Amino acid sequence: MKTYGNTPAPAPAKTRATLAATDVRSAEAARKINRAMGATTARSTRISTFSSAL
Amino acid sequence: MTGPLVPFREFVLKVHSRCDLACDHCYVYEHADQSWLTRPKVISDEAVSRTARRLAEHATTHALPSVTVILHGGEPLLAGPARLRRVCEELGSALNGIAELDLRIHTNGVQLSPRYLDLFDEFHVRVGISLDGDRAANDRHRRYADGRSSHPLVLRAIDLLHQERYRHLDLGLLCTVDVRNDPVAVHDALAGLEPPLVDFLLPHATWDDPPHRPDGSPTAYADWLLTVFDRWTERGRPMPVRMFSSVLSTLSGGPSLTESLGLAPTDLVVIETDGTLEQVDSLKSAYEGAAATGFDVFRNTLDEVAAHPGVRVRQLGLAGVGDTCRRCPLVRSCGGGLYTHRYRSGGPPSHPGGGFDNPSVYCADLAALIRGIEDRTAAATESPALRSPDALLAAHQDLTRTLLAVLHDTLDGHGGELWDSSWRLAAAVEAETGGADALDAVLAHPYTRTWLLDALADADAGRPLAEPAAERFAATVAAAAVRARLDLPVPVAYRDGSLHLPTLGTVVLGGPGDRGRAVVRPADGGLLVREPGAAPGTEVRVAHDEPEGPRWLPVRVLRRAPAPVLLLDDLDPFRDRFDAPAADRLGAEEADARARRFAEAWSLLADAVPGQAAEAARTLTTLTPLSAGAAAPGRHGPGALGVGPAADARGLSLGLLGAFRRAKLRALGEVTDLYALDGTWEHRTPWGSERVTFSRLLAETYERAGLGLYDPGFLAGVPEALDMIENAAEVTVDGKQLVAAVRKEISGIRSPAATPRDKSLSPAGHTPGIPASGRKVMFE
Repeated sequence: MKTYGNTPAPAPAKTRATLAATDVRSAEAARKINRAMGATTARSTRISTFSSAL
Repeated sequence: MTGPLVPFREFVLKVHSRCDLACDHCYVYEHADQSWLTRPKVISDEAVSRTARRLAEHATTHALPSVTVILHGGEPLLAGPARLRRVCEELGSALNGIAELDLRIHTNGVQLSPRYLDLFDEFHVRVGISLDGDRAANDRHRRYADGRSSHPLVLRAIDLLHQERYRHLDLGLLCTVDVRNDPVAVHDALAGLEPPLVDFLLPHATWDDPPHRPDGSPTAYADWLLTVFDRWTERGRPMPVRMFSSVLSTLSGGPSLTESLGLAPTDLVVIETDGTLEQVDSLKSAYEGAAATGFDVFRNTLDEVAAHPGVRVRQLGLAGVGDTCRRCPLVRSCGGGLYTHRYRSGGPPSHPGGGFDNPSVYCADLAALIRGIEDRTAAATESPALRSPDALLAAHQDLTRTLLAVLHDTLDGHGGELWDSSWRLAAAVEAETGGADALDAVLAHPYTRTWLLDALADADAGRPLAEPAAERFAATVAAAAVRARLDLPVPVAYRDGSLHLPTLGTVVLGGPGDRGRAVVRPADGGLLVREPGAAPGTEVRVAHDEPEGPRWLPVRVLRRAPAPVLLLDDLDPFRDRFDAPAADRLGAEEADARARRFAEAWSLLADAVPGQAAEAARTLTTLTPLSAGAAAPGRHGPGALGVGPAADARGLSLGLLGAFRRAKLRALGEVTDLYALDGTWEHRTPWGSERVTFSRLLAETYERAGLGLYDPGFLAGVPEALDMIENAAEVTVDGKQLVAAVRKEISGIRSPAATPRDKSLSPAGHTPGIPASGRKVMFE
């Protein structure tokens, strides 16, 4: 059982967050998950769309 | 009219029907509908109470987590602090414990004072202000009836809102476009106020009353907005601009962010000061009574309004726009424009085109704006995964880790004791030198994605975590600890007598039906497996390089040049995700024969399409032996291909290439949006008579283009299909970048007509150098 020579190079630009520190609740995280799960794209966070107000 | 009823989530509450300014572009007072003349000036107590009850009823019926209420007018501040307090109290009280209340007010700002802002702070009412830019721009329309400027008072209001004690209430600025204004001056004036958000509104217009175009240009508004866009970009995008954000979102496959753009169903309703329920009030620009529904809060539920045909037609997405728009490739971004802007009077039979079944009167502007933003941003927003195999692998590593972290968060402590201990130990592995790399290496195994997605689907459906998923996570952490040679005991569980350590092999601890717990401890480059209570000396010891035996079945590693080094994984219990069943554990001779045939096929591949072979070598990690068929992409994470016993070396080489192309397209589609609204339109491929979805058109085209590099006969129809894809409504900016990359791949290849598909292949022999990947995980 060889377990050497198996390490990938470090990620080129992005600093690696630990699992515990991984972003899990942002809109970006929701979009990643939805895409992988084949869910339809929807407004992942509530936003106001009424054009005559913000 | 079909489709499910869309509940309202946004409620525009008219608390006062008059205004202290006399803006000549106001849709409430200056356009077709004059119903304001008959409304009570201030909303009554009874209307407030009834409205609050209706909202609570609607939120309960539809289990809405939150509702947004926008206090609007006229000028809502004219209602006075006491009336606004009453409104906030009633709404807060009615929705308490039912749904979160997001309260907002939109004002011209001229009366905004600490008295109001203290009230808004108390009820967390966030404030948006109308301002049309610099003083000259603002004073073009936003004046008092006697002609006085409102600009100094609005700036004073913004200044007040920016005080530390009120800043958290600031929503931003809303600017109505007038193309006679200087767009750069308008941008700079707005940006200079450092708002958290800006939006630009096209002045309301219809085909009956078209927008003012001083120089006659059909794209005057797009040109003006693109000048703002360029200035905004040049200044480093100092604040979000809702209109631009919406276009950028839809171009990338995301949702629209405003009712004036995109196909998102409308979910807002207007409550007038007399309690009548109306459709979106910009319709007042179309004709007298255009916004009316005939319903009110006293007699009708909000579900009745949601079922009103005028509301429903704006909830139908693509089915709610006219024929011309439905066929337009830009419709996903513009959505036909604001509903009001599509209106033309008259109707069939004498005046076809009457009503709202038309493109927007701003159609040319919207098209130019969307194309202009796309041209300006496509290259910069392109996903790196499209350009580089290593970036694709990095994106997938990030995705897998995100899936695991989200699953843990979703389980919220209910994953069981084995899951919780594994999560803690994963953190311990990550903290050790070499541990993070080892954990990432095991997580990069393509089958990891498979069990994670299954577990997340269970969690989303409210089902408990399946035991095999928790067991797999434990085995994953144990495998990482072994690979990193950490002195860390890892509790695991086995079933059917087998403990499979992903990427390493299977420890045999019993027979079929046997289940139990054990602890894996890395030792001397190998591992020890000890069951609780087992007598000393009875543990299973697997040495480094341990050959196959009665207690240990290693995952075989295929090492046969010119093929890349790959796992031949016929052990993993999660491997069976191909159309053909996965093969059982192969005998040594069968494994050797498959490896030999694979290497022969690879040799042909590397000779015929060295670029594709090199890229495949950079990304593939795992072959799954199948019981039937030739080669298949399967439904695992990237890096896996299934290989069956059928086909000779040439057939297998073509099969591998096709499967690799399909697997790569799938991998790209999992980390970036190549298209949106798949299945909304149908397409006829150049090579078939069947009408297919966009995703199938893209998949077939991408595969054929790849095969065409091997045998140009496969390229027949591919250029036409690429044109179809590029001009389809579904394709995103990244989808178009992929099309450009495919065009580049096949450029220079001889015409399919001159090179029939079944031409003989070049003899194998030359073995191209296959560069090592910086990102590929080597499992040997």
